[in-house]
Amino acid sequence: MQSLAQVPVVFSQVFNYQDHGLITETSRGVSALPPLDAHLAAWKKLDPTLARVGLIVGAGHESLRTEAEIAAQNHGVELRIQEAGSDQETLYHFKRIIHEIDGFWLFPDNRILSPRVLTEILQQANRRHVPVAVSNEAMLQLGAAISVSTIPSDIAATIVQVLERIRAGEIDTVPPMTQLSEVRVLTNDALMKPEVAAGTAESGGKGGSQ
Amino acid sequence: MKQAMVIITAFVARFLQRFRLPSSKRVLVHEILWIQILSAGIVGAFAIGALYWGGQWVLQDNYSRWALQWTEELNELGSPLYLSDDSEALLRLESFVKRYPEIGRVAYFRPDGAPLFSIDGDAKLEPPGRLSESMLEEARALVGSDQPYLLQSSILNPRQFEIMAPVWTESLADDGLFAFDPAVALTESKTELIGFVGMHLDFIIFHDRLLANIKVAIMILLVLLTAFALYGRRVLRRALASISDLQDPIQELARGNLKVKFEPAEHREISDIVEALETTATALSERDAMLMELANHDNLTGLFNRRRFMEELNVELANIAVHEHSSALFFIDLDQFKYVNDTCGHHAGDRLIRKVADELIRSVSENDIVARFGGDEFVILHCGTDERSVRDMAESILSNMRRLAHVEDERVFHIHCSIGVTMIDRAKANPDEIIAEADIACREAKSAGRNRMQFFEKSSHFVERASSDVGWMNRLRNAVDADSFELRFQPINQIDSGATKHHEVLLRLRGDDGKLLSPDAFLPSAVRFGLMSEIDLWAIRHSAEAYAEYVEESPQLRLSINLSANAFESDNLSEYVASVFAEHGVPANRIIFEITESLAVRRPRHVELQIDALREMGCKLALDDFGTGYSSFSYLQKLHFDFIKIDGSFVHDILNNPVDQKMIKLIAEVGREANMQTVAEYVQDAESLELLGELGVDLAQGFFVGRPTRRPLYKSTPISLSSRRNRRTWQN
Repeated sequence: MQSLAQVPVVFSQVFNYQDHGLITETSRGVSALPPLDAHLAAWKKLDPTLARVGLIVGAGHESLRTEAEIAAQNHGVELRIQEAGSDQETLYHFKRIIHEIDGFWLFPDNRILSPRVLTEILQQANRRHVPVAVSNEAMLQLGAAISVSTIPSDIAATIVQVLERIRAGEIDTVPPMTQLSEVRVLTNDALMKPEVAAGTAESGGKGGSQ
Repeated sequence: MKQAMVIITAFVARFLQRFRLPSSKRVLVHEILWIQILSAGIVGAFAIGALYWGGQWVLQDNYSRWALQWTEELNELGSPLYLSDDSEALLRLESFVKRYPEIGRVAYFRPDGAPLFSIDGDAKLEPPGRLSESMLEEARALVGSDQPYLLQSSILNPRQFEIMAPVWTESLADDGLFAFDPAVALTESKTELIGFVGMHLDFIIFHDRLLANIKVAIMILLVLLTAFALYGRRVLRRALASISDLQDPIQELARGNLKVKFEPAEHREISDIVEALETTATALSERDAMLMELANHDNLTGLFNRRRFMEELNVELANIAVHEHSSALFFIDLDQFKYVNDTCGHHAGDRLIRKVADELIRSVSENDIVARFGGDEFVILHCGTDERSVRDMAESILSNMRRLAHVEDERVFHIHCSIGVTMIDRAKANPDEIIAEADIACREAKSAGRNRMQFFEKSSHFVERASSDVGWMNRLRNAVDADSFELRFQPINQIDSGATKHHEVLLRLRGDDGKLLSPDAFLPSAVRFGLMSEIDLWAIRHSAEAYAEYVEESPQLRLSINLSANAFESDNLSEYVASVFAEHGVPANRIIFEITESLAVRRPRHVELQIDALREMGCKLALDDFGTGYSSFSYLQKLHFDFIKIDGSFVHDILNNPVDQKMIKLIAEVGREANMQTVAEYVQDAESLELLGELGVDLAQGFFVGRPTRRPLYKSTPISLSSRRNRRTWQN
């Protein structure tokens, strides 16, 4: 990135971009996650009874937390956010909030997740019939209930959009991270509530962008 | 289980044998109760033992499970090491430790093993020190493993456990959730050791609770056993009451009370016992009655026997002494009874005796007592009478007897009788004298021509005679009581070898003049006064004593003892002989019993049984006075005797009487064929001895062979050359 200091750079698919110093004067990012509002809207649409959602995330994601809180407020969901510093702490907090939530929003923060903890979270959530929402369709195999993921064409279009604005000299007006606009929703019907599973359909939706 | 109970009960019973009390002090109820209690105690002890060891095993297993369960709480336990805000974690841990009293300590260590801090439970433990290098190495090796803990228990105290586990954090590869491949993502991760957590567990509290429960169980068991013992004792007593109720009746039965009543029992087993006891009592009573009947009655006629009659006579004498009335005793002897016996055989004689007995019973009143005195003699006790009535009654009996006709073998016999009568009043108190008087009167009637009656009269002649007879009776009684009889031993020698084979035991009584009296002088009186059986027994006992005395100097000693018919009146003759022989160490095969031909041929059943018993003991048997009776030669085979003693009447004039010679020769031949040795009595000279040898006789007895001596002597007689030619070896 330093060697590319004068070259405008657009990055994408990096969750912990702040740890790598990817935001500079000439670099901008496209969000790795689908728009959280759309994510929550899709989840809420699938499960209208969703009322309390738990979220554990590592340090340095204040904007993400804000976005999640706004999305929760928009959709009438109470959001329980806990910050963790390690996978052990993630599991520790998860065990404490699992009894108070209707769903768990798993953000892909690799710093605070490990295979063991992932497995443990998904097993415990399944035992308690607490659906886990993820941003990766592959996680459905491990026990996640709903996947709201980005669409490659949307990622590509958003990247192109940002590139064009940068080329047009509007880099200063381009936010550090541009939100995606589309989501792809997939569910693991076996882990959804029966009434929810009956109404599940693959859907896409336009989400807002920051 | 059933077999185990049987084994336990048998073990308990053997154990109890060591402490067995004398039978008189043992109580069935207590023994049953002790066995039950001990069995229950043993089973209870096993149960408690099983409870303890089972509990221990379960606890041990649970200790491990609990210890492992807490390892699953390591995420919680390790929280002070990774939580950003550890104040809450510490509070939780403190309450966690307090909640489980078996947790002695939870201690935290840095990654280098240095102690960080610890939370202690109730146990007073030493402050945790730095982890050893080996422990560190072991614990570090557990990072990332499936069972990331070390579990140790103390051999000395298996209730204590030590758990040591590393605490580490893991993270996925950067952005690993995007290009997410479960197979890869779950295996690639970064780990960082952040410290160690150790736990000290002590389950002593559970162990103490288990022991406390076992103690309670033991107490409960003891209380239950005690209650069982008290209640069981009562129940057992009640259950065994039916057995206890048998105690008194059985004791009564043992005392001879055969009329004892047994209460009906409620239990089948006891009912069976009661029924058996009642049957036994009834059988004993019937046997008693039968024995009494046999003891008091004559087998052939059913009349009272001599013994019983004497009792009745004594009772009547007592009545006379009180009431001062008179009674009479009839002594009845049949005339020519021997003729019928000799002519038609002893069975005919028996039939005649029965007929006479029936006739006599018809001739007397109900109050009169009729008895058979022996042989062809009867007595009647006519109570409360006078001389005139007596005479009338005697004439009636005579008349009935004259009309009596007995038919045998198409021949008619008219049997009369002679009756002697004596009156009984207060002046007479001796029953033997009364019998003697009536007997004398009967003999006088016979002397006067028979078929008549005679009152006893105190003439000088008969007084003397009566005195003489009664005197003999007393003398013989005294001789028996005072052992006044003497034994003499006369040798019986083998004719062909001249050697003494055995000695006949002869009975002697010393007379007033100091001279020895032969049996002919006193045995008839002994028979008449019923002393013969006692004399027989005396002879057996003293012969055995003599054997014991003389066998040491004469190891080949053998004795031949005479037995009269009276000796077989007792059913216990063989038992008596056996006991006497055992007492004096007499081998039965060294004794020969001589039995007269007449008794042997008549051979009533009870005599036959006794003879067989003597033979079975090993005694030999000799047929005495052979040739004088009415036996035929066919009897010899049937009688199974070892010796035939040829009556002296055949030997006395053998040199001059060819008929006697033929007879003896015939007897010798028959005896040889019948495997019996022949003995010739009354051998007086050498010629007779030699002739007897020629005729085939085996043994000889007589003055020529040897006179009776005080002790058995062995003196050879001249060997008959002719007998050598006929010699045959006899096995003794």
